[in-house]
Amino acid sequence: MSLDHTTHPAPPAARQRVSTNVLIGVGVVLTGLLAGLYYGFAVSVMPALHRSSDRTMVEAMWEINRVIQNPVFFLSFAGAPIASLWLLIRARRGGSTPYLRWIAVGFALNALGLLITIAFNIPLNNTLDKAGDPARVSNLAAARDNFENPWIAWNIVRTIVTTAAFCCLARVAFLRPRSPR
Amino acid sequence: MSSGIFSLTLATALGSGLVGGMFFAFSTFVMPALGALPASQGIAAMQSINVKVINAWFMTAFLGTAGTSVAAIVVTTVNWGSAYAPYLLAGAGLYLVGVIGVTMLANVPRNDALAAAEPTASRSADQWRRYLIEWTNWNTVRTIAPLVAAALEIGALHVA
Repeated sequence: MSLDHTTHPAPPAARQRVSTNVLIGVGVVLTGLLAGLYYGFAVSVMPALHRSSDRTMVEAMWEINRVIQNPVFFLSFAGAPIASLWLLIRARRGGSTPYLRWIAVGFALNALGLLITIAFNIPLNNTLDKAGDPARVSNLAAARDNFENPWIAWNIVRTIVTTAAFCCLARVAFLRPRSPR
Repeated sequence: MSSGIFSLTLATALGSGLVGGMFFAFSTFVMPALGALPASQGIAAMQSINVKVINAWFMTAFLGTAGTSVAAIVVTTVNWGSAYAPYLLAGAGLYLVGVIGVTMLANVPRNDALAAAEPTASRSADQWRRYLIEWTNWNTVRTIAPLVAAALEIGALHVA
């Protein structure tokens, strides 16, 4: 091999490895962001609203669900499952590696968290939303009863599932060999 | 990297991620939602949040991560020659300054002032409007800092 060879651009495998590292980093941080977001509801927002009047509780959740429909939240919400799926597809293409199973479990847990949100939390939000403007809802106590406890329970489940996904993907960062220099 | 240091780094990264994600929720939609409520209800809800947040589940992540960050800084000074040390030191330092420091110097004083406010008083509405802007801006700082810290600690795990 001539010295001249070292002046050529890095071979494709090395270049891809660097971007895979970035993908792992982004995937882990987005998963942590999402786990923390659910965690914030579990340990702070919902316990506080639980103490509040029916009106404040229903209106606050109603406003949160309105504000939540923005691109920033969508990115945090779908970003972690998408990044981990991307990682899984790339890792599978690269053949069997010691960390493939951790990527697979990390993706599966992220996907499960998304499914819980779609199957349980979003329908509960929609039911609350359909009850209409809280200023005009006649039976606030009933709207609250239908929403509060199941939403809190499923939020705790998705917090645990997404936290486990974070640990799996962090394990990938540790097991993956360093880029050659 | 020994399994002890691995666990310490993972715990610090996880705690930073959870705390960052929680504050992210406040900056992106909890505070805008509370700001959309009538001032008296928004104030009452935020006062309730500030009281209820003092609980074991939150403090475990918030102060526990401060503890693991201090331990991580000690570990990096002892193992300064290792490849992961700069990443771990930067992440742990960023959490202590950007989360604990900002919370104590910027967010807690504003919480204390809000706790003293009477939700239905007209004077409180002005205070609430300022709180919504200033508290939330500092909250965004303590959202970005721990997320960057988590990324640095994942980097530490990778180069170890």
